[in-house]
Amino acid sequence: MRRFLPKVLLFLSPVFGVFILLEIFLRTMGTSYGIKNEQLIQNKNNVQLLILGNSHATYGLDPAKFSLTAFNLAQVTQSLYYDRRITSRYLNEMKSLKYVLISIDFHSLYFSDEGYRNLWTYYGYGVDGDGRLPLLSKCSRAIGYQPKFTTEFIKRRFEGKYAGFGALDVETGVDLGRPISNGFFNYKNSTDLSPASLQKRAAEFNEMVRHKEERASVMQDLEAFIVELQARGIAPILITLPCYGPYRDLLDKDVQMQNSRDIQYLSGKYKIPYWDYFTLPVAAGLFFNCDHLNGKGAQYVSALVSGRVDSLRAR
Amino acid sequence: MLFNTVGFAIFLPIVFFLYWFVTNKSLTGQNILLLISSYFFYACWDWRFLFLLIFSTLLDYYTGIRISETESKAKRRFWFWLSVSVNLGFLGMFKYYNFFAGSFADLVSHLGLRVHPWTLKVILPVGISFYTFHGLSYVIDIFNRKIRPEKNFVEYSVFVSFFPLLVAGPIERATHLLPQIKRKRTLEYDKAVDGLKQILWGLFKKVVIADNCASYVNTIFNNAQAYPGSAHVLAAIFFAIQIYCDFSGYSDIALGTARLFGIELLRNFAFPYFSRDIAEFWRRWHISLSTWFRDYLYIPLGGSKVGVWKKVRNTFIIFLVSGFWHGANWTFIFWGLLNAIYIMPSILFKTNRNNLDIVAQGKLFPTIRELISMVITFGLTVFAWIFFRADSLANALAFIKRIFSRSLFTVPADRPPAFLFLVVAGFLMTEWIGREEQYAIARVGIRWPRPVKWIVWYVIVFYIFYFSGAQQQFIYFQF
Repeated sequence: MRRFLPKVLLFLSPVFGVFILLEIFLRTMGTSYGIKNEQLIQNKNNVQLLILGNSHATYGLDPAKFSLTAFNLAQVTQSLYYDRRITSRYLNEMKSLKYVLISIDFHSLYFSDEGYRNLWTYYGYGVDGDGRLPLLSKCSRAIGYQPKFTTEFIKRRFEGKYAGFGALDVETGVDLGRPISNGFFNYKNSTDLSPASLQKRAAEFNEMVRHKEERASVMQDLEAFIVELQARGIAPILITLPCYGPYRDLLDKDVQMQNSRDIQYLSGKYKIPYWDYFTLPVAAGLFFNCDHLNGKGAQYVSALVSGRVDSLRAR
Repeated sequence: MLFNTVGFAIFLPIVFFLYWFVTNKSLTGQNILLLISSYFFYACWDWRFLFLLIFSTLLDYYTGIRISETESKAKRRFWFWLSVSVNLGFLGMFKYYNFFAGSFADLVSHLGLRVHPWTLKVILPVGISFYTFHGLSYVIDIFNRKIRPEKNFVEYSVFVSFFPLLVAGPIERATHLLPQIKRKRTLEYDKAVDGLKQILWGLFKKVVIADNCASYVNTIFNNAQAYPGSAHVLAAIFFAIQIYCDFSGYSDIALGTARLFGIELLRNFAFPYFSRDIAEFWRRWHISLSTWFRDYLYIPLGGSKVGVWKKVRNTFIIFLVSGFWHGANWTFIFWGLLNAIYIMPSILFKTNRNNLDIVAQGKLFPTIRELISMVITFGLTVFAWIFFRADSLANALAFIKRIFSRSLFTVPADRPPAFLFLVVAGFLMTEWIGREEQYAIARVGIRWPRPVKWIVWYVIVFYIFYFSGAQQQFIYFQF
């Protein structure tokens, strides 16, 4: 034992050293969650329209295109479950809030768990999803961030491309030339719509919606969210953002119809608008990939949505 | 608690410290610590099922004593069958009830009747197949007067619940493990370092190889129609690598962990993919289960000392039961049946004990004949694994049909990443070089200068860390 323990500790000491350095790095690096959180806190008294949803809304709705003071609180893979909990965290402080755009896409009603991003949401907004998260990961980011992401973040830090951007956790293809503004950042204006990528992505989402176990609870939670917003005099607006036509054709038709029926049902029951852009014919050049708008596409669709919000206000 | 989690990385040093520094003066203290730690380890998964484990332990402890203390044959039989039937009853209820109910409903539906089976909505208690077999072997050995019952409840409970082997084996025998629990243990430097090395190697196999193979394998198996036959072949081969690295990785961690506490567990794998025939494969794969079935099923049925047809019958029984032990699905039963068919020629022609030595022992390369034998054996095993991995027999057959289609000759668009091919190739080379040892890297670095040795260990630690994020459960946890 006298020989064993000191040697093990000696062997492990560099490992512990690296662990501490990683912890410091991960706590101090900028993330899109952290920046959104800071910007929302700064603007909480002015925000009139809040945009929620997953990556479709994150990259597809630019608050700058709205005549109201808007803020994009959507995030990649963000579920309706987390939409509600993140919003609830700020709701008391957003005195000017009048509209909440809730983006519901093909798969939105089928999941609440965001996988590893549950923790990213916790690190960014302090929302822990009803105690779903492991304690150790909550305490330590070196444990919570997956190593493949940690190494990617370190690589990005040394590449320096994100100097003016601040955020290190964004996906490949995001336009790094612009800072995050009112929670919004967008994809570059490039387009990749290869048939193979369409098929692969459609297969992933069709597989995802095969699991219907959560559907009822997600719907229930969404209804409770709508009721909560209406009780505060805030108008929820349900919206589905566009997808590239040939990709849409590969998605499960029954699920598309069921989604449409369910959202119409909510719209009718709570007398709230539903703006369905899912089948909106959008030029291929406005997509970054089969289900995400690029920078130009976001400008185009945001202008359309903004016009409808203005019409709604005028009524 | 999984071996490949941060929780275990914290749990293990704490128990190790308490074991060697706080309770080291008293064997009873050490055993109580092991028992509490083992129950905590199990409760981290689901504390409610801890009561089932404790009940099963109490039952076998008590019936073992009663069997031993009575001379009446009838009473001995009563206590023996009570233990066996309750143990198998629990296993049957939790693991097989829904399967039987569903299969019965399917059967009668073919006869034009409609039955709505009453199914149980329960989760399978982790490790139930393993600790049930622990207890059964103990009671059977007492009944056969091979061992005397253990009177010390704590020591018996540690035998059943020792945390490194609790949830996925190796399936220990009382004759091997109980004496170690009863005697004073000391920490020997070389053994402790060896234990750490084996843990490291096990983690590497699980986290770096098995989990990375899994992501490709799952993609293909979950959406098989979308991929060509060539991708199916790759997926089947990578599944063979995955399941080996997953389960033998787990066993390596279990053995290494136990060694840190001065306890040697039974070896579970002996480089099975370097086998020259199926009989050799089964002597090298999941050894603790194979020998369990040999000793408690095959030999009581007459083993090989009976006529040809009884030998054939016994072989089929043992493989079918082994398949069924793995899971309540026809796929596992068919997998067992297929292996029985594979092994049959060697049983009939009495060649099943031809390859008892290590292939190409003392040489760097095998002969051409050995190489061809290994490739054929591996090919047969890969084919059988398709049934093991598939969700249903229909899916397995569709998967195989796709392999034997024209699309077999197309280059798959989705291939495993190049690094995975490299890592697997490097891994197989390491296994080949280390095939005469207990585990592949047992002798690596023994004579190297410390800086070189440590750099190699740091590289392995780095790889484990790098790939450790997307943890996947060990495949054998579901059994």
